[in-house]
Amino acid sequence: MIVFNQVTKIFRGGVKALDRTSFMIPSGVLAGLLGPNGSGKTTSFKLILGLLKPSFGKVEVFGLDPWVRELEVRMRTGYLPEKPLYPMDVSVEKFLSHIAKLRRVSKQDLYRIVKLVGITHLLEKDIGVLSRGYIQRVGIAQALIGDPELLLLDEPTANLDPLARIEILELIKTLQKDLGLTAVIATHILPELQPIVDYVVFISRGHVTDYGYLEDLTKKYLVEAVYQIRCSGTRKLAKILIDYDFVKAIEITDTGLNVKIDTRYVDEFLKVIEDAKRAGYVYSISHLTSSLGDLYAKLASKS
Amino acid sequence: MLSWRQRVNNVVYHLDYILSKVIKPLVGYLAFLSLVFAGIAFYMPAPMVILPISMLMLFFFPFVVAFCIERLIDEITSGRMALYLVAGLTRIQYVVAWIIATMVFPITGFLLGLLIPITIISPDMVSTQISIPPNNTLEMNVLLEAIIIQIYNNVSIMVFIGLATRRKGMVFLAAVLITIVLPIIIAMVSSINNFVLHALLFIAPVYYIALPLEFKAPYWLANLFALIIAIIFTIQSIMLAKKVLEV
Repeated sequence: MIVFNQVTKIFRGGVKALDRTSFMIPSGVLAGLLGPNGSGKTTSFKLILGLLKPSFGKVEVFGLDPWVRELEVRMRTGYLPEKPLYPMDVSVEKFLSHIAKLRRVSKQDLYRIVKLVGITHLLEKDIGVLSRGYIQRVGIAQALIGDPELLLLDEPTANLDPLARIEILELIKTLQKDLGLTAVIATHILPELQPIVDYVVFISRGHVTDYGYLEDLTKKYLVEAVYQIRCSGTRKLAKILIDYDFVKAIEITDTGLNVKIDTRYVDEFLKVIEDAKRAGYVYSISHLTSSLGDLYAKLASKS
Repeated sequence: MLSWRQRVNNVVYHLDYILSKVIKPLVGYLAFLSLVFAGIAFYMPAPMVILPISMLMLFFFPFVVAFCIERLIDEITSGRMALYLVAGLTRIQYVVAWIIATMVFPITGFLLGLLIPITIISPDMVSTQISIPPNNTLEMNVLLEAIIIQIYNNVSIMVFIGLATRRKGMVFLAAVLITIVLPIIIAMVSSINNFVLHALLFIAPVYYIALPLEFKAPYWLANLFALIIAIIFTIQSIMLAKKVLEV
């Protein structure tokens, strides 16, 4: 869905934001574009949207060049900017109606999105009087207008209080699942993204250090991972697993176990689970998450 | 691809949105001007009403234009423009909507400047100044067309400067140059050579009425000069928007 091929972006004044960056993000994933401040995340988003022109290299989104076919790309993409740039002296309804008009979206569809995001009661208020959490919801609503296939969220939890952060991330996760869209979240706060992303692109000082499915990167860089096991005999399985040194933690859940392991021994672990499956008390196993912090540390030391 | 009708609709939607956003401060400006006009209309000798009001208006409007373009520069430099581009506007539609919006306020102010004295002074006196054949006066003929062209001309130059430099100070400087500095310099130089006054027509066709009779170019040519300059700067602004306007 998104392909960067040797992309370089140099701004006026000679600042190089991206330097021969290559990565790809497939469709249907909830991806994280991870890196410290000033690493080129926002520039990457603007290149994806055709708001910036690459100095060298090629960007492709939906197989199109976004700088040349700007409208075709943008009409299929929703964007939540990092800073709340919305006109503060305009009511929520007026702002969202204007975006809906430009996107050729009916009033009914607009109100459906407003309801989905939970801001129906704020429509008549000026954006400037809302709390940061609600302004962020307005931003998510404007990004969802027109049912985009791709959603770009730039630091969606920046400057929010802890409760609002959890709410916004839950909302993003639910929307991505319910609407079946591809979402990319740019952030430098790794832990909060860990439970929700399944694909990551690590970026640092304009270079992509690595990218791929979280599970694949976990195995590649041998960091701890959490696997979700659906089973009936939770205590029996826990008793078996606890004896292995590579098992770092076990958590009992409603449907089975969440097991944190040292991925250097992933094959051995999977063999144990396979045996349990054959014995009939394990139904399935899936990769739940990995430590993004550990992954990032390994990639940073590598680069 | 959008049809022509959809493209025009996009410009209209955004124009409507811009006007509704910047309308509050500008309503104050128009209210102030209305009071000034009403005062002039009340105290001036009747046959002299329209011309001084229009000249006063011409002095003020580049600063109104500068105010509007400052808002445009704010949107571009803050990144707010990106919101509207992502929603489905092209860079060209965005810039065209702003050019038209920037023209609306001075034109409204000018029309207001005509309407207020009409409501105050007697219809007979108004008819001597308004362009209705066969009694039309040259004065009003000149003003009606030339002012609209002048507004378009000055807006296009200032929008171009705003887009090219993205500096509010430069736009304000352009307003001062157009309104005060250039006319004074040209007037001074014209004391040596009267023909130099024609240079003013490239940015201010209204000064046609100030040209000495023996040197006067045809009136349509005076407007054409300014119109051509306006079109050139509009095209340049659009090219700038299309090729290099990054957010």
